[in-house]
Amino acid sequence: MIAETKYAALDAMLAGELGIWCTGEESLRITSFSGDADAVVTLGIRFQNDDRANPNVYQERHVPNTDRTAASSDYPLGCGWLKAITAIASSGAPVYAHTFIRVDLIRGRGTSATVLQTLLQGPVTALTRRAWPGSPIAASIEGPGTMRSIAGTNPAANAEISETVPTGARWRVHALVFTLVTDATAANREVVLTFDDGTTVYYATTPAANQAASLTRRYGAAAGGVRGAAATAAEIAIALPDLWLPAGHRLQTVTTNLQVTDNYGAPQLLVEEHLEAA
Amino acid sequence: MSRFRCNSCQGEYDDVAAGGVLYFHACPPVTLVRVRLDSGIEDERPLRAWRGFTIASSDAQKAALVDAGGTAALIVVELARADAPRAGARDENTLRRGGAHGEIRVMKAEGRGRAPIPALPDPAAPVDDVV
Repeated sequence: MIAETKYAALDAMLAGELGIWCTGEESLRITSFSGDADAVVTLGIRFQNDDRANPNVYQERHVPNTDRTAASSDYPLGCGWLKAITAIASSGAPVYAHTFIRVDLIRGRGTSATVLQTLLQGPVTALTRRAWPGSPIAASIEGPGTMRSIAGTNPAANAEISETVPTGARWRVHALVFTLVTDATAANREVVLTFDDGTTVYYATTPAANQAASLTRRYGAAAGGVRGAAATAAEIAIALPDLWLPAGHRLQTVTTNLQVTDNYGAPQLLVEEHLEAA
Repeated sequence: MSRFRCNSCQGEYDDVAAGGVLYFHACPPVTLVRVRLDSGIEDERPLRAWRGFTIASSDAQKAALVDAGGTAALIVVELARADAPRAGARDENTLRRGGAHGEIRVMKAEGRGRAPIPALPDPAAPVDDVV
């Protein structure tokens, strides 16, 4: 009987149905990167055991980390032919490009496993599947990123605004808005928006207007924006550069003549985010 | 979603951003301001340490502030300012360390911790009538 089912599987292969022969020592390893709080990825697997006439169809569930770091799970395969895999975000509502997966065929266990073949790699959502065979192997920084509106930290009085690109992310800042309330000390505050690598500033941009004492001004910055010639009412424009900021890089204000009770409000950022699946 | 105050920098933030994405707070640097006191002595301290003083950008501005009724002893003249790493800064971002099942999640710097900010009551919530 076993011999007959083996021949049935072999016949299917000879008929042109694709598959990878597994000896029983191989496993599937899914590695995920996600910034979503509630994403769950489900693998649908079609496997033709060598002792059965019909393929075995089953699912494996994987929960990514929520901080964009790698999470991985191994699922042992039997002896037979791996026929097909699909992957989809089966829970939560991950937006496009914010949950990224890679599925490898491995031999061995844990950190000593040997990767034999990468089968799937790319973003998944609740509606966007990855499939093997069929889907191309995509990098995490390909295509459009995720658009995110982020409320930053509201700094204490006399502290500057500082936002750090989180671990595992790459940001392109499209827009930024924040307020500055100046105290009664007579001095013109000049806001400089700086970009640094965590230590060293590599770009700085300034508005065309200063802010005097006892005023509340809202600063708006946009990629491709035009540096204004002067302050307009309570709004001051800053031109943003078109930069991709890697993880750990910072966007900060540096304010000339900032006084002890001057107070910035929380910045609101619109960023395009890619996962850096390192 | 909860709101927290950082014990290192006193900044306030929500731990979960819009769309359910986690927010990782990192403290801003501290601004060090070097000034000349009315006594002529030069001193450098974080900006917040000059609370109670007026920081003039020049001797001429200090003179104008004194003429306007300011107290000379409470007006210092700024000589320089620079950003410096904050002592005990908190950085909630994750260190990247490999493990058997992906990466081990370790916070970069705990700093002085954080404290939850109690949520204000919802002003739109219905109020029970007292019969």
